[in-house]
Amino acid sequence: MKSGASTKVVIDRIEGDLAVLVVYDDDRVKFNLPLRFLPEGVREGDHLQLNFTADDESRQIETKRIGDLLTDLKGK
Amino acid sequence: MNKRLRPVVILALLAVALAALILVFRQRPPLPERTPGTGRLVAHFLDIGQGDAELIDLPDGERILIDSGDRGAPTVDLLRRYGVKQIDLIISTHPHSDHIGEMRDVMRAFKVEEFWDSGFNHPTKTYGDMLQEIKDRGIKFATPKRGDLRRFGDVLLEVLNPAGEPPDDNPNNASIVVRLTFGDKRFLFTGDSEIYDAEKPSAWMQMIAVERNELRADLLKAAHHGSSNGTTQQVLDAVRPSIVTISCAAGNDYHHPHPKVMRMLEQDRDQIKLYRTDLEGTITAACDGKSIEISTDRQIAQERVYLTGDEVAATVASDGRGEGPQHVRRNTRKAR
Repeated sequence: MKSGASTKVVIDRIEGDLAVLVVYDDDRVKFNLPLRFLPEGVREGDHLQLNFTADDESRQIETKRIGDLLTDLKGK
Repeated sequence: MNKRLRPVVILALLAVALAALILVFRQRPPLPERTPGTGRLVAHFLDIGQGDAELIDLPDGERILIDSGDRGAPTVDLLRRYGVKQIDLIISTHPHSDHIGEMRDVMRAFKVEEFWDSGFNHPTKTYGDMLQEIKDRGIKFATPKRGDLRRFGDVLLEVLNPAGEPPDDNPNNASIVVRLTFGDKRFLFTGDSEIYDAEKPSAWMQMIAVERNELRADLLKAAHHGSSNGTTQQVLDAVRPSIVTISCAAGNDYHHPHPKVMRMLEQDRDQIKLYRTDLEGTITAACDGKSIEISTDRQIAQERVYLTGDEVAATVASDGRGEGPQHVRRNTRKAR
């Protein structure tokens, strides 16, 4: 399984506190993201590189936490 | 060559040439026909989801398209349904995706004579692709400014914005705003023009500053999908419309239309009839020069017309089907 991927997105516009992000390679794909998740000072027309890295450790921790909770709940 | 054979060869060659010619002509697509005019000015505020797209049928048969809706919107299909074969003038008010996303597909589907654009350099791929398509097709291109006029038979088109250089770095304020006048009636198409307050420059403040009477119109397409920075009391006082239309999607993420705008229009309900694409589908305004008749895809209870964007979103979430086209009967009511 690929552990990482990256794609370029463009801030098409900012509607209130939402940035409308359009995927550069396929402008049918778009999504909104609150501005607080983006680098400070971004503006309309900015191009952003979006990097995805699979965080296996985080997944394992969550799996364990949920497993423990399920065990506890089912045990009662 | 054998003398006896020569006429046969010539005949055979002629036959081949004739067959080739027939093939070439058969394969050429039929010339686009201009639909005969109806003598009326008909504006369709298309139900294309979140965004703007307005098809205008002029009395003599010409067609204008203002904005295209977002990428993936069913604009081309809708235009075909309204019998569009060619478009005489496309106006892209400003380069946000919800206004120009389908422009490239529209240019690929229909013959386009001329293209007007804000000329605002918005560095997105969608905008670049649109400009490239205009260039590749050799479509006549212009960036009109306030004061520019165009006559289509008895209809006068006036450009009211932009005045020159945009007032700020917001593409909304670079919106091309046009007013169409036919007989006694005027239609104002506003793009996403914004207004803040008297101190901060904006598209609306620039337009209002010139001369208030110049903004009068019977039908106002609310700017920026009914957001609070698109329509204020100052705007309504300057335009004094009897009909307002709002283009937006049911359950949109941007809270359109805004509660302030809804309360204001509700207070003015005796003077202003409100129509909106999220609840009523495509809105058609037909004008004979003396009056404007409105029809819509769907009928809604009168009090629902003032629901805010968030109230509509809550309805959409609870019934799980939104304001889909359940009712096909078109609702016609006479506007003032």
